[in-house]
Amino acid sequence: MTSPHMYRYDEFDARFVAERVEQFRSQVARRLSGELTEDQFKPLRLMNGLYLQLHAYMLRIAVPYGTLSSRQMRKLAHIARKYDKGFGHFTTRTNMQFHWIRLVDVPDILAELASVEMHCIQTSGNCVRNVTADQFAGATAEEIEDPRPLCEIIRQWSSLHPEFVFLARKFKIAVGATHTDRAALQWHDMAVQIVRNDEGRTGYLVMAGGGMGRTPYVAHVMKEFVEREDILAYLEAVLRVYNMDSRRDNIHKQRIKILINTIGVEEMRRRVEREFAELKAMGTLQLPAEELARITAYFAPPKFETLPDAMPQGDAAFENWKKTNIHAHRAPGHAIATITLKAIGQVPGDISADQMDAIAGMMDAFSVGEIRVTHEQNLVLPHVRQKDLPAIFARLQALDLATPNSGLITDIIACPGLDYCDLANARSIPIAQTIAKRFADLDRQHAIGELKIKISGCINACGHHHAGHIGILGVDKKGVEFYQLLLGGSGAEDASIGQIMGPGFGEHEIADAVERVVEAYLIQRHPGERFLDTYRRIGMAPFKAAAYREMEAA
Amino acid sequence: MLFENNYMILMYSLAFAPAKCELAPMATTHPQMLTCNRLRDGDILYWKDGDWVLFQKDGEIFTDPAAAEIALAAAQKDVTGNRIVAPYLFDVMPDGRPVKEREIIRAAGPTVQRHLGKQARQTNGQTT
Repeated sequence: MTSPHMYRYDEFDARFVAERVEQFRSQVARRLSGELTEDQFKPLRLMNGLYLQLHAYMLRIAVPYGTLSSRQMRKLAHIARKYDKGFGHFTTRTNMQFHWIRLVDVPDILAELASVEMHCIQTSGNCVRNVTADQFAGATAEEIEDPRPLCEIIRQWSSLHPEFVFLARKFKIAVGATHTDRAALQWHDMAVQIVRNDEGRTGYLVMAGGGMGRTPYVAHVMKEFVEREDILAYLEAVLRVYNMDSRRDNIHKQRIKILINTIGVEEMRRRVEREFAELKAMGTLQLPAEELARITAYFAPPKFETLPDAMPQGDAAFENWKKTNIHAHRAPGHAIATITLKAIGQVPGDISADQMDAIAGMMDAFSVGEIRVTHEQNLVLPHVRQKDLPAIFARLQALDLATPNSGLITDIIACPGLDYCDLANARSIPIAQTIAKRFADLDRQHAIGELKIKISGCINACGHHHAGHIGILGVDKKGVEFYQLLLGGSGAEDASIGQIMGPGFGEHEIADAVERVVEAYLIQRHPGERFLDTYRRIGMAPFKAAAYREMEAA
Repeated sequence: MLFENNYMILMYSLAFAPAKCELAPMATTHPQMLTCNRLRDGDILYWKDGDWVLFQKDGEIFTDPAAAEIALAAAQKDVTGNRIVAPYLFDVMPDGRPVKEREIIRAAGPTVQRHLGKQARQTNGQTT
């Protein structure tokens, strides 16, 4: 049960990554000796995912489409222990960040990563970043096909693509294959949804122009149906138009969302179609069926045991965990288990080296050696037997990883914020902790139902605040942290942009304001309505009145 | 709907975006300190008497802006000497407490993990 069904490096991949490690080793040596100045070195380190953050260097490691093997998880645990402070942080881009890295250690860390087919290439800079996917890929019965083979093809195509190494800005791509969107597709620079047309043929719906940050936009559909063999040509056409036509004179206007919303989606489609026709005529980017088949074979589903659907029963704690953290699997007798990294009062997305090692053991014992990282900063065991769930739950409980809150109000996304990030204006993590503690009572969480809170410590929106049912944005108001409240955002298939409520709240007011908004929802909601549905029905006014009520009285 | 939201965001941006820019050009009445990161490990350092110390509380406080600028210029020798990166001045209260939350956290460590960062280390006037 320990051979994960995922892409394995071929000799070209392995050699390329190994060469990059040695290249960076030489670059670090030359920086330390003074042959390279900081201005010369900075772009080189960023190309290898190395930032200088608030307290130290930070290394961002790519987790392609969120899939990790147990061997890789053990390596991350080892790196956390040997080179960092014994823990790591999973991000909303499904990457792992280490926040306490020494420059002199980075070449060795990259060599360690290369030994398990991992790297930090294109986790920073104005290039195509790590491709993300639905965390239930290959495990859910809902999907048309596993989106990861296409992710891997996109990864190979976009890695050091000579035309797209110096884009106007970063470029993020996600792939999904279900109607239910767990990968925030519409919030990406470009996204592919695997679809089936009226003739029953599988192909790709391509979206572009989504993005958060200073000017949030939900993506436009660029083309409803792209044939399989044309997908790289079409994606390349979109990127080429972006690369050629995007502004480069104002950092706030250089994402593809600005280009598309400036020239209009019709004009963007026209320009893309022109490039697409040319690329197609050249024929060099046509995806050969045999290459698709070769890549797809790496992701062939495991041979699931023939088991009856028989969900084990247990005590209240187990039943509560099952209620939110277990999802239906494509194979009878199996399940998908979400491990939230959101124990009440903990740092969202943080995981200790000991937890990583223990989870690697569980991956081998229960889930064909494989795990997924989600954009909500959680983990997913994709292929577990229903009969193993009690044992899995018990082991997770011992690790303090059995919090039964997937999709509930305490399953909060938070960026590292001012506790770690050099760009942040305000802290995010303590706000997440305070809100989680406020709503810790599980009965209350169940009564509230699905409610996604997402917190960013600055306008760059790593914490996806625009896409939160309740979003929180930290701002700096004359050196003091303030928090804007946004309502009505969604990162799912019903994507929408959260609306700013009004004046911000102080650090000690924001949790109260959130609580008053939630109380208003509980009063106003119709049976079966989620918070988001109620907001969409009744609008901002009742929530705004509730949120500011106490403040006006004070 | 979309447009309205973007307008709000734009208004918001205009209201808050200058916050960061305020730092540099604004004539400061606060005393200042000089800080940087050590090149080889990124550790945070503070200027004192022509060299660097590990803890903010041991650093030199400049009440005279001209003296602060002279120290910043002097620190360039460690930039060109490949010892440090990104030196800059920041505002402190007369007792040396940083004015901005950012510098308080930078000097101490993450507020959510009190066992990490400078706050977890012994301060003994140690230099680099």
